[in-house]
Amino acid sequence: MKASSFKYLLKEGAKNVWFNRLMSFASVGVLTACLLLVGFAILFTINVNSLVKYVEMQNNAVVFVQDSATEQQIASLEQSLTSNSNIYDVRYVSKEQAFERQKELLGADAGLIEGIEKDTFPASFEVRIKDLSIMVSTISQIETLDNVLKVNASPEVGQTLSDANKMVNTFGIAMIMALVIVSIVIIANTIRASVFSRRREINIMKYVGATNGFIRLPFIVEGLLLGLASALLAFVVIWLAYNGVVGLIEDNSSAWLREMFVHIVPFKTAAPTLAVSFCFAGMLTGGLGSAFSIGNHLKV
Amino acid sequence: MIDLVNVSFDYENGTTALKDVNLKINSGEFAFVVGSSGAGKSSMLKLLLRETIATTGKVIVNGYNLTNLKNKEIPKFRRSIGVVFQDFRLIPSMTVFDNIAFSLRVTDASVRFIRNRVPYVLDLMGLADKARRYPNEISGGEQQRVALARALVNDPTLIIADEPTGNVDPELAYEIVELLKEINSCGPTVLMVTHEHDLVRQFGGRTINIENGTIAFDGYIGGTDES
Repeated sequence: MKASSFKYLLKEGAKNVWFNRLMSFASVGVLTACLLLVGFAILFTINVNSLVKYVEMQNNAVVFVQDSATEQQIASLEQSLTSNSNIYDVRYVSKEQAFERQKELLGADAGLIEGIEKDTFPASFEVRIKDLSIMVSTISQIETLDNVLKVNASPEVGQTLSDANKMVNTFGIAMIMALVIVSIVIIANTIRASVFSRRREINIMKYVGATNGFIRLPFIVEGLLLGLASALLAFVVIWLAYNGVVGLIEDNSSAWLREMFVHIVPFKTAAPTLAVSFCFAGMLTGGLGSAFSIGNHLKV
Repeated sequence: MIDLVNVSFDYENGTTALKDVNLKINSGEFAFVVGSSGAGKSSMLKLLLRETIATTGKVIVNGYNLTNLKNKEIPKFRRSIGVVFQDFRLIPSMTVFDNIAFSLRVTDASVRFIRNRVPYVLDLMGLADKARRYPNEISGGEQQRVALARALVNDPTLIIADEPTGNVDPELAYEIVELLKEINSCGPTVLMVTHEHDLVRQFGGRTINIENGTIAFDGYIGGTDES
């Protein structure tokens, strides 16, 4: 095919978007709606994951040190804790620091502990667990270490959070997959209807000796352009909607919501992935949808 | 040019459309194909355009044996013929110029050639001032002339016209047949399918009458047209 013919076919594809504007509008509408559904599902899953991860990070274990432990033994214990692969943060709280914290906690009632020796409270290590699903075994390992008085932790909470995280991931992926399948079915039917309405046109082209490739190319270009337009439209809508919702949460007086807001994934973080995914999905669906839908009408 | 040898055609539902048809149309001939509805005219056209394949027999058009023509060779074969339909079959999204140019574009003709050739054919058909119009902006007669221009632009050696006068008034119908006769006088073979016996009687010439899937008459009738 000559370059001039190729250029002509590209131009025809672009022209047809406008000429068949009613069907183009329907296709862009359906494709945008599907991309929005999938996009919102992705953003929802990303945010729930981020929130669950945040809650997980709050799940500390406190390792109390025996009073008899020397500074060297404490350092050795710290070393053992740091080298545990399921622990990612170790903070030492000395007896004095523990006393000060207690005073702070009591606030106005701090007088209750006046007169008590500053080394009454045991020294401890605050540790953060990486993988909550194996928290129980990690706690058991810590308990076997020398100079450990006691370990305070809530493995049940850890397990629950870990399960919740898995559930959110599974549910999120399932929801996205279901939406993708539904979208493909809807989009395929819309494109098929659009191509069906122009079957006579395809028929004429066949009678004047056009090859299948010559007929297909403008339809593919048209599909790609409609896909791209849908992707851009969906991106702008999701951007505005997401920032709108974030703004609402930010302005809300509820402390819980404001606390949650801190851990909402900012749109700019998800934007590149969303933009690329939308463009890829939109153009792939539009282009391939057109290419396949036209197939049946080429048998003349 | 056209050679049908012992051609039979049955539809998938078992209906026999053509029975052992033998027909030869030579280069440069003008022939009318007449017959009542369901006689087998459309089936014959489908075979000649390689829309379908004969159940038995041999169909040769423009040197192409359509019985064993490969799918990828069909476009090339169709470019060697010009087709005109009763319902014009113009592409609504293209201007008159582009509808005609499309026949050249599928052959990978150069832009320069298209720019010279299309206005020439438009001029021949008296459509020079309609080039930028869309099919829905011109009359039925003009649309049929555009369809004729499209069939002609590739310089085909055979023109098949399927009821080209079916959608136009009698005066225009006469003009269209005259135009086809003129085209024929320049060289191309013309095969015109029609059910308008008056028109055939008026112009005369080789007439093939198909009835019940067989050729009931193939001969020359004298025309009454004295113009």
